[in-house]
Amino acid sequence: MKLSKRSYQSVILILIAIMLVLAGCGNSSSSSGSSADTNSADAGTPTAGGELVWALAGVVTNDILDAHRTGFAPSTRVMRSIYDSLVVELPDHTFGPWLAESWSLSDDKKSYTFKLRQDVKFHDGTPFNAEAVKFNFDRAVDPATQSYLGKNALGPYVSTDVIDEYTVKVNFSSTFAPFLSNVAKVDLGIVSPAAVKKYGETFPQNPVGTGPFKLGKVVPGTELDLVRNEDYNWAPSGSKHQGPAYLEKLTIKYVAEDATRLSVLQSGQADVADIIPPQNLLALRADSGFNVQETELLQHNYSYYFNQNKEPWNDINVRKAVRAAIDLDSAIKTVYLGTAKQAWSPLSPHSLYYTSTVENTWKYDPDFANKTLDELGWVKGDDGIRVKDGKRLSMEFLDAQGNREKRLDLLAVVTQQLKQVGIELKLLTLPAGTVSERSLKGEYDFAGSSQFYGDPSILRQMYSTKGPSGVNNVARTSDPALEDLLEQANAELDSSKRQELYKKIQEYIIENVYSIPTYVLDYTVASSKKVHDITFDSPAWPVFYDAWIKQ
Amino acid sequence: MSIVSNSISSDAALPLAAQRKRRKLRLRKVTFPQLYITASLVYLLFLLVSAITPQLLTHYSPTAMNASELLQSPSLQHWLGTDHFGRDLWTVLVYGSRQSLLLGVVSVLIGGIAGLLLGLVAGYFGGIVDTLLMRLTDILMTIPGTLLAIVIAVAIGPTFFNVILAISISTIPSKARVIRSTVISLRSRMYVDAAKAIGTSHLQIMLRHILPGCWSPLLVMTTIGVGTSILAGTGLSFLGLGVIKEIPDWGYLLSEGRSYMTVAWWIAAFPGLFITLLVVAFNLLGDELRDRLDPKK
Repeated sequence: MKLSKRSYQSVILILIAIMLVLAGCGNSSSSSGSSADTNSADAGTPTAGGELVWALAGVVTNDILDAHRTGFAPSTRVMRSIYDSLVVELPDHTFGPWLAESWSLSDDKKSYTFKLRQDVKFHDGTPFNAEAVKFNFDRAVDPATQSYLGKNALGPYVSTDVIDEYTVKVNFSSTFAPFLSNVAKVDLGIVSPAAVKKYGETFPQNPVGTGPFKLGKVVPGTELDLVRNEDYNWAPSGSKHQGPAYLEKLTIKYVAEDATRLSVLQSGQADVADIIPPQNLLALRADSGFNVQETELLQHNYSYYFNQNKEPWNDINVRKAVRAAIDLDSAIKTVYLGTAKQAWSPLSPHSLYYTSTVENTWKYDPDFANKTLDELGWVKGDDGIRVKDGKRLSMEFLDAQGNREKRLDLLAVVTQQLKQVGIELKLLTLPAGTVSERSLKGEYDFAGSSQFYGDPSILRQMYSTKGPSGVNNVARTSDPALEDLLEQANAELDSSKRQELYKKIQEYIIENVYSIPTYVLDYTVASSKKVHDITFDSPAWPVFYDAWIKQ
Repeated sequence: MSIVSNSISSDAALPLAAQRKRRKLRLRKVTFPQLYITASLVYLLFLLVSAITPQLLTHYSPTAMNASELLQSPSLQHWLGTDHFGRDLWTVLVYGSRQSLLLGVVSVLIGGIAGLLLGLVAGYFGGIVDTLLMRLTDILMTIPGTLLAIVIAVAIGPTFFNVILAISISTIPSKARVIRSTVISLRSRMYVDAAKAIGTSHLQIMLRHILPGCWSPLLVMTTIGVGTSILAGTGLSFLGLGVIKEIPDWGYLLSEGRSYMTVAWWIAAFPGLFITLLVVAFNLLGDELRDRLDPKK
């Protein structure tokens, strides 16, 4: 504890040094370049070879590279390069062949028959065939696998029949509209049956798929290398080339820290960085040294939910008043610096099932909020917070995720806005275990959540007691009329009829304030100018199969 | 500087010649140590004022978010610039000082009292009591203080009181150790033996004869400890284990500002500076106290 005279001098010297460093940072920021075309320009012929370093926003703990087991976004982004799917969902939401050459629906519309490619091999050399597909689907629904997303993605799955070596029939107990969209996702990516049997419990550390890259070296907690699968010749339709990937090696470094990820990219230690925070996005867009790709993530938008099992949030008028008290437009502009749009529906605008009829159906109206709450008997107390029958109009918001996507910043602005009309919002930061425990018990008032998912059937999970979350859906919504619509839409195979159903559902959710959608999330990837042709899958994760580096 | 001007005004009654003479003397007397002690005191006084009556130091509101004034660099209007919510950074820092100071002072008090009791009992009774208590502090000492605070904050959840508790607990072992050694040297003094001989109770001896001797090391340790505790508290906030309040504390602001370093350096720089100065000030004062209270001098 004791500091000598000399240490004071060194303390002061260190302080001066810190100031100089800070001053340096300030200068370098203001010099970022002139405007430039951020879209990938015509770059000529792709060249094969080279190593691409990707600074990943997040840490992939190496035990969760099992396609069927994890729903953890950073893992999912990495696994897209390791595992292939039976079909691919193209940007126009149609489906193209991948590991399956073709498929057909049975007459009762409850079974899908897939004709598989015959030239596909797993990374371990074992052949991909009908048995492998059966193994994968049976594994995803097996409780022992502890799959969450994979199991949900199969819905009313019954069984898979092996018709011949390269033909499988997947049977459901009822018609299941989301199937093709779900089977295109990594959550139902095809894993090697031989590797699963060989590695058993350690398979998540030794992922084996059929993808364009296979697992190379792993440094736990730091980085993970993927090396090119030289045998690869079964790229999905819509790809820009055939045969093996261009890149020899894809090095994925975990850089969860925003500022560090940016400097790693800017200093050239990484060629690609994803999830760029708004304040840096603005600068990078204007920087001629980098490409910025922004793709709307297909998902259930980050939304606020009321716990409708608790008074007074079961009253639609209170919910409407709270919604009118929030000035989302200004909050989103403040927090995301104009890089994000306001969401009007739970679904992403790029979803095939999005309806624009919900846009501008409510607005920021503090007078309405005040009037409604006054009429309901909530009177402002001494501290400015409304009180009724001795109960304060106060909401508890549980959080365990920290300021991801600046959600706590958004909440901070919303808290101030709610205070203006006499509503108190208390943020409780708790360990993840405590949060899920309290959420299950329903000990919260207000919650926020998002879920990346291409198919609109995600709404069934979030608002129906019949969905995978059941009575514990985050809004505790229990509305037979809505559930009926959701079940119908889940089984409706006709796209236009399904669109009509989801239009009704979105309008219904917004009308009844079952949630308050907040912002539309763009998944962002920034790369140095020499990197070309990074593409995106559905819901929006990067695909490096076509990517190449200009030598 | 302030010393010089103060001395002039207080000497106003003296004749001019005498004043000049004294002034010369005083000027020569102002040495580097005195300067930094004064500077530390002035800074702490400023923090005390800002913790008690922040509205005296700024006319902005610490919670007023202004979408049209985001991330502005320091200017005459906003001395330290604005943060990512468009709040005046100076105002946020001034209002945030209350939480930081409260955390430092309260956790040091709790840790100090607990450490004092432990050290007093262990040192006075010796033997098995001493062994048990000291092994207990040994165990606590094997875990680095910050890590211990993090573990406690994660385990029981980050409320303001829990954070204080976590930091207090992590400071107990070192305090208990020092007090114990002081007590051991005191208990063999003649006057303690004398007190024992006339049948004074243990409690009386501890309170009347030994405790007074512990004050000076405790005072030094707590003064320095306030700085370290605040640092630990801001550290926890920085790691996201602190309490997120309407008015952010310095550590949280620093952590938030970190991701804006390349576009708005001031959001992280000034909280960092405030924290650094605070810790340095408390350390300097603690050191000065130690010198003054040292019986060998």
